[in-house]
Order: sequence, then C-alpha cells, then structure tokens
Amino acid sequence: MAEKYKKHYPDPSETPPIDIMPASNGEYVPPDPTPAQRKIMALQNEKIEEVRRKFGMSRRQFVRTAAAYGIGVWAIDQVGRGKWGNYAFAQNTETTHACDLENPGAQLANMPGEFILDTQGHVLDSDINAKHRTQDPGFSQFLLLWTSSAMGDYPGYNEGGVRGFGEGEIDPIENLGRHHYFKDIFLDSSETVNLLTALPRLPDEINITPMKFASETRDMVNNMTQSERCFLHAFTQPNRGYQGKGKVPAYQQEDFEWMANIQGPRDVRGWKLYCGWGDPGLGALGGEGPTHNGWWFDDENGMAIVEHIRRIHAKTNRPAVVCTHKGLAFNGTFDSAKFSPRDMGIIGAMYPDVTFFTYHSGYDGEHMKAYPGDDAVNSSNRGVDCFIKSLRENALDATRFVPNGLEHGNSPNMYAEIGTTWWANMSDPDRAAHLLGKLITYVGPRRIVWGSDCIWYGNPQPQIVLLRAMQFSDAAKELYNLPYGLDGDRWDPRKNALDGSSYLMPHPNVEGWPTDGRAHPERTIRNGILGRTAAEVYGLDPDATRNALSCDEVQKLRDAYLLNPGTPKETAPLAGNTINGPRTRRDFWKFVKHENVADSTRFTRFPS
Amino acid sequence: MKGKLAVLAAATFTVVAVSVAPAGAESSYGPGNYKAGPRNGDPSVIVAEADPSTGKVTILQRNTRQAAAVNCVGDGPRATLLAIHEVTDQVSSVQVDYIDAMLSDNEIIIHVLAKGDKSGALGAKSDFGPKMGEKGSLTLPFRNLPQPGETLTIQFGLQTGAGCLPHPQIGLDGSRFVNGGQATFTSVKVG
Repeated sequence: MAEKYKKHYPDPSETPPIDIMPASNGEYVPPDPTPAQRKIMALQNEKIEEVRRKFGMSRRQFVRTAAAYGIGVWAIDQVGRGKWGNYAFAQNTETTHACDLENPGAQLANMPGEFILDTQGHVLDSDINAKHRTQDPGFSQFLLLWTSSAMGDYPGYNEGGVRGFGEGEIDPIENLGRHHYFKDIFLDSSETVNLLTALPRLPDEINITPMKFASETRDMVNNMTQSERCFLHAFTQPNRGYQGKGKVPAYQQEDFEWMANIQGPRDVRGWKLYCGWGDPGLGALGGEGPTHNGWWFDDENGMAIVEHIRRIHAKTNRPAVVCTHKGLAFNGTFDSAKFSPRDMGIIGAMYPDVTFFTYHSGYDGEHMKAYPGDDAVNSSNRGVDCFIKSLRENALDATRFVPNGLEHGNSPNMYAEIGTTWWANMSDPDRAAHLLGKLITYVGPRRIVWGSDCIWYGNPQPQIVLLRAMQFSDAAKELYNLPYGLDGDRWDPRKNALDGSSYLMPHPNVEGWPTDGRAHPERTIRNGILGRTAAEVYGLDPDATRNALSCDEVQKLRDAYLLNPGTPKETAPLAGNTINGPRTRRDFWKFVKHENVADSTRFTRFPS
Repeated sequence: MKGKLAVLAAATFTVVAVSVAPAGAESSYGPGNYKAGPRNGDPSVIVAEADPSTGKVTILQRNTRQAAAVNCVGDGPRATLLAIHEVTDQVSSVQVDYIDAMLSDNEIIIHVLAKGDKSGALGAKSDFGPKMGEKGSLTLPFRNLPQPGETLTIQFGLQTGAGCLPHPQIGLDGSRFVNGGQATFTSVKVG
C-alpha cells in the first residue's frame, strides 16, 4: 500500500530552492544551459552536500532550509557577480565559507521595514465544471500548455496506477487552484498581501478567474486570516465583438455596463487590461483572426475604455487604476504587436488623473542592459527600453519631474510592475542591476512595484530572497546616481535610509523627512519596490496591516508550519521546491511524445 | 474721407495684427528640407529606408523570428526623417502630411514626435494601418510651448515591432510572414 502511495505522490525533490537552470513550460525547447548556469548549480550542489552533512540533515530536508536559500544566493554571486550587480548575504561574513552565511534574508519572517505586496498573484477556477473549461476549450488547451510549468506531466495510467501532475494533482488545472495558491503564496513565502489580478476574457462567467471565484478566494483568504491579505482586480476589454476599424465593437456597451454595475466599492481596486487580447467573434468575419484585433490605448477603443473608467470613478469613487499587460508576446495566442508599450506614454500624458501600472514593464525576454538612448530604441517593439522610450517621447519620464534640490524624479502617474521581469533577470546580477537602475532613473524610485506572477512560478520566495539581497556595484551606483543602491531613501536616493545620520535634521526639499536620528528601513527603495509603493496607490497602511497580521491565523499556521524559525536551519518541510517543466531538449521531446510518463520525477533534476 | 479713414484703419489694424500676432505664422518643410533620422532593425528587416530628398519612407520585414512560449524578442523596422525648426515665433503644434500610404497591418504605424533642445520631448502621436494608398495628415499639439531661440526637431516616419512566426504547437495566427509599409511625407508644418 505504501508502495502504491509513493507512486502517486513521489518524494519531494532534492532540487536546490534557487534553481536557475533553463525550464520550459512544455511549449518550447528549453535553451541549453549556459556555462555560468552549470557552474552555479555545481557550486550549490557541492556546498549543499557539505553543509547538510554538518547539519546532520538529509539532502531532501536541507534543500528546504533558509541556509539552502543562502547557498543559492551565494553561488549566484560567486559566479555571476559582475561589473554592475551582486548579491549580498554572500559577503561580509566572518569567513567566506558558505556555512557562515546565516542569511536572514532567506527566511520567511519579514525583514525590518518590509511589507510585501505582490501586485501580480494568479489563481485559476479549477472546478471541473467551470465555464472556461466547458465553453472555451481552445483557451483551456492553451492554459494546459502554458501552465505545464506547474504541472510537469500529462495525466494517465501506467504501471498499475493513476499518475498525476507535478504536485500530484490528477487534474492539471487543480495545481493552479485555490489550495496551491494559498499554500505557495501565504505559507511558503514571506508575502504580506497578495493582489489577485485578473486574466482575459469577457463575459466574466467564462473568464478563467471569474469575479465570483476570485471574490470567494479573496474571502476565503481574508476570513482565514481575519485580516486583509488579498484584494482584487477585474478584467475588462473594449473590443469584444470587434467589427473592424472605425466601428464600435458589438459588445462594448454591454461590457461597459457590466463594469459600471460590479457591486461593492472594495470589490475592485483596479482594472486589468490586455491590449493584445483579440476577439474571435465578429472580428473573424472581417478577415482578421482572433489574434489580430487587439487594441491600442491611443485608438478609439483604448480611449473609450479609459474614459469609461474615469466616469465610473467619478460616479462611484472606484479607483481609476488601469493595470495593463505590456511586453511578453505570447505570440500566436494574443495580438502580440499590441503588447508593445509604445502607447503608455501617450495615454499616461493624456489622462493625468488616471494611475497606470505597466505590467512586466514591457519586458519581452531581451538582454537587459543600460538604456541605450532615444535614437537607438524603436518604441513599437516590446521591451523595457521601449517602455522608457514611450515615456520619454511624451515627456512623462521621471527625469522631467525632478523637484528642486533633488536629483531623482518620479513619473506623475505611471508605475512599472516587474512580474516575470524580475524572475527572468534575477539570476544575473548585472542584468538585474540594469533593470532596476534604469526603471529608477526613468520611471522613478517611488514608481516600481513588485509582482511575482505566481502561481505560474510556484512559490515566490526565491524572487523575494534575491530582491532582498540585490546590491549595486560602485559602477552601477555611479551610472544610476544611486550612492546607496536600493538602500537609498526613495524620496531622496542620495541619502542612506539604513543610516540614522541621514535623519538628524529636516531635509530642505522633502516634506515630512524624519529627524529622529534613527535608521528608516521602511523608506528604502528596496522596501518601496517590495510593497510600500503599491500600498500607497491601493490605500493600504503597511504598518497597520502588518501589525494586524502578526497574530492572524495565517501567521499561526506559518509558525506551526516552520521548523527552527529564525535560524539557519529554518525549514518549511512541505515546500514544493521544484520546477516541473522539461529542463532539456531530450525532456522536451519526451514530454511532447508523452513518453516515459509514469514518473513525474523523470525530468532531469539539476544538478544531475 | 470717412471711407479713406476706414480703409486706413483697416490696413493699420492688419499690419499691427500681423506684427503682434506671430502665433499664426507657420513654417513649412518638405522633401529636400528633410534630414535623415534614426533607423533601426535586426537582420529580419528587409528594408528600413527614408529618403530626405523625396520624403518617401519604406519599411519591410520578414517575420521569421521564432516565438518562444512567452517571449518574442526582436527589433522591428523603423525609418524616420527629421524636420529641424528654429523657433522664432510662438508655435503650438505640428502637422505632418502624407500621401500614398500603404500599411499592411494595424501595427504598422506612422509615428510623429517632437522635441526641443531646451524643452525636451513635446509629445508623440501615431496613425495606424492598414492603409491602401491613402493620404492624410497627423496633427500633434505640443504638450509644452517651446520658447523662441529653441531648435525643434520633428521626427516622423514609419515603425513597427518585431513580428514572429505563428506558434509551432498551438498553431494559431502569429504575425504575417511579411509585413511593412510605405508612405511619402509631403510636408511638415510647424505653427
């Protein structure tokens, strides 16, 4: 019996918690690992074996400890520390021995001043009868492929037993449902609050995260925690029933009425839009397929929906917050061209009373480097530089809003969200430094917000740990005029927020500057990115909320969930700790051909 | 006498009006006055050309870039021209006229942006495809008023993002295999 049980639910993996090797979600051949990636994983492997023996732990136990996270950060730093960036926690210890790294940043308890508001959480309605599954099988098929990074395997029957997906669920979508959302976000990570954002498709009842399901999920989380740990976006679009250029889409009026009639002013804190979401309805009759009738913010449909959001705000006081996917092409599924951030500067300048969050900051997999200058950038492409160029073309970039006596400004109403963008760049400290450095320069030290894009990537803790550890080199500090890197005060980054001497006297150019002579970690750029900046926009009081959380049910669960909390041996024994997609070309083709399907641990584990 | 006075008064008013209200003054630029502007594109770009002598701008790309699951990295074509204007009078907008615009898809755009050497960026505006031999004009009101003594750069042309092949497994539409556009910019009026 026990043997049969193990076939269905394989032992937790022995993979290091920070796994930076290539991974595919099953839709493409993963690239070959780079020499640097191989070296990082080999170093981790060596240290994990060495340290876990000292701790007297099995490898399976040890890879779930804070010390294992620390070793991951250390290994990346050893190999990847470059001209522009590096990771702390790997330095300034008594020795450079990995075992000396106590790595407080790797633990689940929040760091001083830290309030983590993840502005991009996802969950799917996993009910087998959910309408998106029964009425929109094409999109469900897309989901099946796209979400396979969290699944790892097709279901089936083999060797006398039913087998499930990566985390053991027979139904693939269940891996992305409420149970795993709650576990990954609130138990396995340090997140304080999660913004459950929305995904495409109207009418709402066939959305993959319909409002009813999202509201129930939020209520479940908030009731369990007896505090506000979760809040919502709603998806909307202006182009359903697209009928061709110059014509009002057939369902625009109906969808606008739906937006206006969503009940409860706190139900929706912002609107989630996907400019690249086409509509297969009437648009197909005009010769344009489903992926070719997305919209721009500066065309008639884009301006119509922003105007409508303003009207709703004026009538109901629902926040005029527009959150839009830009970058990440999803070619073949979306109208990828409309995911160019070219229009963000135009629409932001047109509507200064609306707050815009540019999700992914326009990133689409490009190699991250310093902004190359306006003449070198075509704003119609996808990429962080294209987002910056769009702001600069329209005089909306932060350099135009530098107050007297300061050297950094903030775009008035444009925010850069870094979901997936951080995940994709964090394994290379140089790329990570350029990403954050140029966003701070051109969007603003108080205009960058963190999103994890989890549950797609499972547990967000590796992303949090690396953002906590990120350091700018001297060259990067000089290039971006950030003498204290991410520890600079986000109202004046030339001051060190972690040094009490920065707060001895009033700042001549910043109102409300503390003068208590104490360090103010809550004012760092880092803690702004992690949550405090978004908290301002969404009207949350980070300190009040965090205090309320310290005794909530989630914290009790988390306390019980951890072993050896606050020590290098802190461990979350049930953490998923795995990326389940194909990791090599050979794995990929096995995956495609459905071969060798019995063993959900069959994908190459690194280091192998 | 009364009539002569009226004519004289009218003439005087006209002269005064013209001399104190230069805001209406318009400077026009056309082919031959243009300069070549920035152009970009990766090796998938077939053409990204702008001819200052004729005002003709052409972009064309083959979309053989292979999309990954999520990303589709590339540098689509952009070709631009410049009109340089020395500000002497108050100006508040620019109008760019074009003819023979052939744009294959919605994402092929006519893009105009303006900046002053002291004021910085003054705004941007786009007109979208598809267009089949159309003529038209694009008027961009300046977000800030540039001051006399500034040099304005009006950049105009065609651009689009990197297109990619349809997804190999999902098989839905991707970009067209080839897309692009052409237009002739006949005049740029700053006023």
